[in-house]
Amino acid sequence: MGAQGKSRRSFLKKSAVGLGGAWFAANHPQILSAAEHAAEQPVTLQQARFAFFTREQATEIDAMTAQIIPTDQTPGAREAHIVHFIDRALITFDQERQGDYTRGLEELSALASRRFPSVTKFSDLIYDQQLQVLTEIEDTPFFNLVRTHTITGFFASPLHGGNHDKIGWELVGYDDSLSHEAPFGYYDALPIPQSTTVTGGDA
Amino acid sequence: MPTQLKATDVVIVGMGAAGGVAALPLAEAGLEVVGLEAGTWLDRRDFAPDEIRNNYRDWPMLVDKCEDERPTSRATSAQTANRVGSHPMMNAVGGTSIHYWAQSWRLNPWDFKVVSETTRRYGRGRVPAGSTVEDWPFGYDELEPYYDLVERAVGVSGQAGNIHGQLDPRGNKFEGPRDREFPMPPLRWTAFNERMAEAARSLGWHPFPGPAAVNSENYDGRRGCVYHGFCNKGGCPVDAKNATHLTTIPKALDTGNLKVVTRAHVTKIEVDGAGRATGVNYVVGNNEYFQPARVVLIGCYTYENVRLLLLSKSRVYPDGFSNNHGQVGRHYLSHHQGAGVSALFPYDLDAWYGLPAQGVSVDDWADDNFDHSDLDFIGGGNLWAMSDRRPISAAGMSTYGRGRNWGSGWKRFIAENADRSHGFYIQKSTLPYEDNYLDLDPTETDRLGMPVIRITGQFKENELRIAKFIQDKAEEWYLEAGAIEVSRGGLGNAMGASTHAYGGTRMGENPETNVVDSWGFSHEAPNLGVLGASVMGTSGARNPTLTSQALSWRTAQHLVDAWRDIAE
Repeated sequence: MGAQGKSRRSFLKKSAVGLGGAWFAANHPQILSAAEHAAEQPVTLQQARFAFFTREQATEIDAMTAQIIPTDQTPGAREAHIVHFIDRALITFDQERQGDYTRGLEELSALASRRFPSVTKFSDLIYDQQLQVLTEIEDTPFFNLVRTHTITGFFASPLHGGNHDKIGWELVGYDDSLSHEAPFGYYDALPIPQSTTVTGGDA
Repeated sequence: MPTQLKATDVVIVGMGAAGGVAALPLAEAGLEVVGLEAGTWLDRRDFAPDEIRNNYRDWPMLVDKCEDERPTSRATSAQTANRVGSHPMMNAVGGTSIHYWAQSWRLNPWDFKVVSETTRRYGRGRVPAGSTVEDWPFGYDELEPYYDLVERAVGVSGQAGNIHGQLDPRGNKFEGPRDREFPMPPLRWTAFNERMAEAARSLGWHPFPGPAAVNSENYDGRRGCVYHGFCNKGGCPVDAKNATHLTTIPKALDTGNLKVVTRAHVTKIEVDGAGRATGVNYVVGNNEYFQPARVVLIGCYTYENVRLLLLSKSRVYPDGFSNNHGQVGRHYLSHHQGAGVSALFPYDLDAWYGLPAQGVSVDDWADDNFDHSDLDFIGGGNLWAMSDRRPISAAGMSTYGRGRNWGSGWKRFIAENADRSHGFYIQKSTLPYEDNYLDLDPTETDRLGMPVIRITGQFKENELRIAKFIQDKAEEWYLEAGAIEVSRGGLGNAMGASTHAYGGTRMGENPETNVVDSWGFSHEAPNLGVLGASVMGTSGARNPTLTSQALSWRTAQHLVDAWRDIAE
C-alpha cells in the first residue's frame, strides 16, 4: 500500500467538517466483527473491556467525546457508546490512527496538568475546566480527529458500535424503519480467492 | 506460458455499464461472446444501507484490483502527480452501474455539434483557444434509436418533454425529439421537490423530473423503488436500481451465447503482424490465460480503457495499442463535483427517504439553451435539486456562522437543522484541451508492477465562467424557494479523478485526432472496438452513463451488421 495508502487517509482535510469520502476505505472485512464487539459492551467504563485503549485512555476519550456531544436534555456521546466505536475502529478499519490517539492523549493530559496543576488527567477536570482545555486545542488535528470519529460514530449505523439505541438518529429525526434488513455483509466477509482452477475462473 | 483457451467470436473486457449492454445485441445475434470481469457477481444481500461502508469506506469500490489502480492526478504537466484518495471505479458484474446514482440522461442535440453550432450562432472565435473540441461524427438523431433501446432494455423512468417535436410542458423542452415516452413514469417528487419546482416556475424557468435507471413501478419482473435511500454509492437491496447485472447481462446469458468469466484481470491485448487484435491475456489469481477472439471490445472505466491500450505495446504498436497517431489519452475531460452551492432552509425538507436520482431538474442554463451573445463563455450547466440525505453527512453541514461545531450549542443546531440543508453540485459543459490528458504514471504501479494512469487536467476559463454563472443561478433558485442562508464552494482548479470521466479514446472521422471511428472501432486495428465514455468528445452538462450505453449498443449492432468486414 505504501505512500498512496497514507494519502488516502488525509480525510480530515477534505471537507468543512472533516468527513472525507475515502477515510474509511481501509482494511477489509472487519466491520462485521466491530458490530459483534460493540453489541456486547456493557454500559459502564469500569466494567468494559477495550481492545486498543487502556482503561485510563478510555476514560480520557470518554470525557472528551462527552464534551463534543454532551449529555444534556438528550443523550450524548457517552450514552451512544462512542468510546467503544473508536476503540474498535482503531484496531480494525482505522488502525493507522492508533499513534495519533496515543500521542494526542499524552499531550492532552500534559496540557490539562499545565493549566490545572492539581490534576494529572483531563478527565479529572471539572466540566468547565475541560471545556477551557478543549477550546484551546479545538483547531488541532487531534481534536478534529476525535470530533470526526465522535460524530461519525454517533450518526452511523449502530452496527459499527456507536449510535447505541439509535440515539443519534433520534436526535436528528432519522427513522430507519424503512430500511431493509437482509443478511447483509457477505461480500465484505468473503475474501476473493487468489487462484481458481484452469477453467478460467467462474463461468 | 498462458493457458490457451478456446477461441470465441467476441471478447468483451469489462462486464459493466457499457460492456454489459453491448453483450446483449451481440448474444442475441448469435455471436459467441466471452465477457471478462475483474470482479464477481454481487446480489442484493451485498447492499447494506450503511453509510460508513458505502460513503466513507468507499465500499463497494473497495475491491483489490480497482483500489490498486487508482490513478494519480495533477493540474498541469509542471507538477508531480499524487495518487488520488477516493476513486470512481468498480469491479463487479454490473460495474459502476451497481453503485452509481442512476441518473440516465440523453445528451442534448447541441452537445453533438458544439463547434458548428457555436460558429453558426455566434460566428468564429467563440470556441475557447486551446480546446481540441470537435463535432461528433453524427448528431443526436443518429443516437436516438439506441437511447430508446437502452431505456427499455435497462429500464429508465422519466417524463418526455419532446416526442417527434411535440412539446410536453411536464418534461424537458430542451431535449432532443424522442420517438416515444419513457417506459416508466418518473420517480415521485417530495414536498421539497414540489416547492423547488414552484420556485423555478416563478423565476420563469422550466422544471421537470430527471430521468433515472430506477424503477418507479414494477418493471421487468423487479419491484419499484421504495425510497429508503442509501443508493448513493451503494447498490439497491430491493433490486429497483437497474444495474446491468440485473438487466442486459442476464438477458444475454439467457441466449446461451454469453459466458461471463469473473475475477479475470486483463493485462494485455495481443496483436498479429498486421496490427489486428488476436485476443487478450488475463490472470485469475496466479494463473494466466490467453483468450483468442475474432473481435476485441474493451469496456472498462475511462481510465482503464486508456491504460489497457497504453500497456499493450507491441512491435506494430510501440506506444500502445492503436496509438500510432499518439491520440490514446488525449482529449480527456471530466465533470468534477466542485463549485457546489448549499443552502439552509427554515423548514424541514423531509429528505431522509429520498435518493439522488429523485429530483427536479432545470435545463434553462445548460448547453446553448440560452443566448450567449453577450457572455464570455459557451455551454452551461444543468441544475439538479435532488432528495438525498444520510445521517453522518447531514451532521457534517455548515453551521453558517452560528457558533462552534461541537458542544451543546452545536447539538441543538444539528437537531434543528440536519434536515434543513440542501446542496447542488454543478455539472457543466466541459471541453477537451490540448494540455489535459491521460498517460501512464512514471512511478506508481499496481501490484503486478504495471503503471497506473496519470491524470493531467485543469479546468480552464470557459469552465470556471460557467461555474460562476451557474452558482449565481443556483443561489437565485434557493432564495426563491425561501432559503435563509446560501454558501458557495470554490470554482475548482485540478480536475482530479472523476465519476464522470470522458475521452482518451475519442470517436471521430479523422484518424489524426481520434482513436476510434464513428462506429467505435479503432482507426488502426479494425477489429478492436471501444465501449464507454472514453469515446465521448464532449460531456454535455449531465451524467454520462446512458449515452455511453447507447453508444455501446450502437457499436455492438454495427459489429453484428458488418461482421464479415470487421472480423475477417
